[in-house]
Amino acid sequence: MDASPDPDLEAFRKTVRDFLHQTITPDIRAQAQRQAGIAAEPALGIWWLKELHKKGWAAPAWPKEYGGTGWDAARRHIFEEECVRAGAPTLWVSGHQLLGPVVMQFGTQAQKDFFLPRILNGEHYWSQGFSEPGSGSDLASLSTQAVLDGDHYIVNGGKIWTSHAHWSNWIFLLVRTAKPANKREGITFLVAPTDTPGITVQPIVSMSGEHETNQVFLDNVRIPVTNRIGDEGLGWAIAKYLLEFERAGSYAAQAQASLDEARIAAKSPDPVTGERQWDDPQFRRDFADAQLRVTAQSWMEKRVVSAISSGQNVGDAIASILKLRGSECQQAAQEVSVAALGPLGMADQRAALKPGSNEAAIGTPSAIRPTAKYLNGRAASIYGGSNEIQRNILFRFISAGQVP
Amino acid sequence: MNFDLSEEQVMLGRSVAAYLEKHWDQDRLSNGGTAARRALWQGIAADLGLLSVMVPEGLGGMGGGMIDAMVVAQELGRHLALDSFVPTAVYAGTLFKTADATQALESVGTGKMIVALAHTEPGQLSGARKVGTRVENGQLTGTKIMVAGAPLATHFIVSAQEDEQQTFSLFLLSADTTGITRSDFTMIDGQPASELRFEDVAVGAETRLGAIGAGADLHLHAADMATIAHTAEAVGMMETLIRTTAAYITGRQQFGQPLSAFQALQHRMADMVLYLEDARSLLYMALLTDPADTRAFERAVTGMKVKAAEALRFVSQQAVQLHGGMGITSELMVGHFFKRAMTVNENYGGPGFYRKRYEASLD
Repeated sequence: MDASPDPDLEAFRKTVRDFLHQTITPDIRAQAQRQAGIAAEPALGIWWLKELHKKGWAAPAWPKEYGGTGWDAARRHIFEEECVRAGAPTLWVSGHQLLGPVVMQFGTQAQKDFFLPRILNGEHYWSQGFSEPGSGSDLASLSTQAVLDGDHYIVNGGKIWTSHAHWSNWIFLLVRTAKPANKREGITFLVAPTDTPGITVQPIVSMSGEHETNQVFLDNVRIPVTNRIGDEGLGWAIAKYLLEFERAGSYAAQAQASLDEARIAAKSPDPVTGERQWDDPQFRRDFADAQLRVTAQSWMEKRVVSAISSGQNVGDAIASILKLRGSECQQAAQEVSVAALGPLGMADQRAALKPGSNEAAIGTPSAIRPTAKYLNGRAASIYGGSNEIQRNILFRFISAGQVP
Repeated sequence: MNFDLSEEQVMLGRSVAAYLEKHWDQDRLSNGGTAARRALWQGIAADLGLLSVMVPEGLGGMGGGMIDAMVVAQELGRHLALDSFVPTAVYAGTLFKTADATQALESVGTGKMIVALAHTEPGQLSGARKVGTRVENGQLTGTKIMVAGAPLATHFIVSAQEDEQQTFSLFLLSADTTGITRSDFTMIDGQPASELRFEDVAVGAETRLGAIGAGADLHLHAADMATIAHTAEAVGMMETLIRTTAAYITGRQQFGQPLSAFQALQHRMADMVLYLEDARSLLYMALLTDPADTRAFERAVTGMKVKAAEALRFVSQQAVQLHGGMGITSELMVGHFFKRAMTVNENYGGPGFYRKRYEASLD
């Protein structure tokens, strides 16, 4: 156990910083600031992806043979941290982080050759069709049906919470191809272009005011069998594999960014009395509590990265712990950043929040985003397997004697 | 940055665990009093040489650091054993190193010296830099309360005010020094403890640790190091509490099914693990923060303590709750862990004192 920094990693960090310093101009940062959702809208996001692609950094988690960077866990973590610190746009990850690894693991050679380069260069923009109106936490109860008809599946049903579907040109779907007693069997993983006849996307506006997610209707959609990933009935295993990638990730850097905003806001003095909210004992206590959650998460992430880098199998319980504490610390930090704004936090900043918007902020520019981020952030403890589901999973490891 | 223990550290932990499984149990803990504790101390010093863990090799010690101390303290926490280890090996050990008290450090290493801290006074607030005990004309007079481990100790570290100094000095006195009167009692966690009266106790300059009036800073630094070790102990305690509780709710049947089938209890246990891992992460942070960077170190230690105290309180309370009626009996270990959790949290000023320092450190 030692704190000495690894010179290779420090050099890597500097390379990343230099690149970000050149690429993320104040103008880009300002545009990215006007986004409160989980990812930048495609106009900005695809620009950023292409910049990364030019540099060879479009897929930090992919092995080199597929056009990825081949970075280890420590480098990926540094890269993510530095992107957040630089205020870079947050990338939409359904293609890179979710579908890519699935194609690599379960896809045919033809599928790899077709999909992976098109994820890398941003040509394919993916959305995830998992949840259904009747199947949320109980995902395995999904009922969207796929019936084989020659060399096509005919798919009927619908998906919900399909984020970025209105911008996507491809969608991956979990569908039911059989109804065995064990509902986890009989699920199959299909992919389809979103302009396939029978696919309709209907917006869902979230309470933060954004149109980020959708309901997708599937009405006699014909999907060729060649667009099945893995064997029929293997869908649940693939979904579980994919969800591990969805739950991992670095939460602490983003939460810290919210706290840093809160600190600046709280330190600005009352123009009349000179008093600061920062010196209010209740505010300082709430700030300290949120900071401790974020600090604990940050060191948990360091522990995990270090364990993976030294070749240890960290276990599935860790993914749940990271997701639970990560989403909780983000929400706590976002809440404090709203409190730091005082009454101004109650203004609806929707007009100024549009990417590329020239609309002035209500109050000060720093008031544009925190409230929308807080509202949007309530989803973090719901998506990717709700935090209640994560606690169920964690207890399974406790009762099996594998944790602590 | 790396979080792996060395092979030697893993072996060290295993040898402590094996020793305690043989030589320590609930009966000795609750009924053995001072005699059982002294026997364990002597055994551990002779057989494992554990007290020298942080003593430099040049002085016959193992030459380890805080990470080695963590390994030991965590095992002690898992077994609820050797409550004088942290005050002696870590608190006094740090103090002796900082104050260049070489001989005393050597005696800690051999296990000959057991130290109790005599600092608290009636009505004293946490973090006090002045005390009522005074040294006048080379004679120390005053009263110290809640001196944990005093009946077992061979030496006391005593805080006292000298001349017109703004902060107290520290003295190392042999327990049998003329003029010290002990009245003994037991703390809630079973530790022997005393109230100490000092009447015109002769203190030569050679008994002073560090410079005159430098005691408050010396004490705070040593207390911060000891707090790291106590957090390791707390992590060990939480591990045992969680394992014991999981086994209990899995085994006990109600309404025709194991208690562990109820989701409310499953989620409670998941929360216990989350708190434990928070504390462990922050323990590692404090261990890997350079004490020479005083600002960063203070923030790391105080933040760790705030969260670890919250964690230990939650985990111990819920462990009792999930054991139901059995949890509140003195028959099961869970109650002993609960009481030890209270005293571990209260050490060196308690969570409130650390919270105040942590909040100030955020400026």
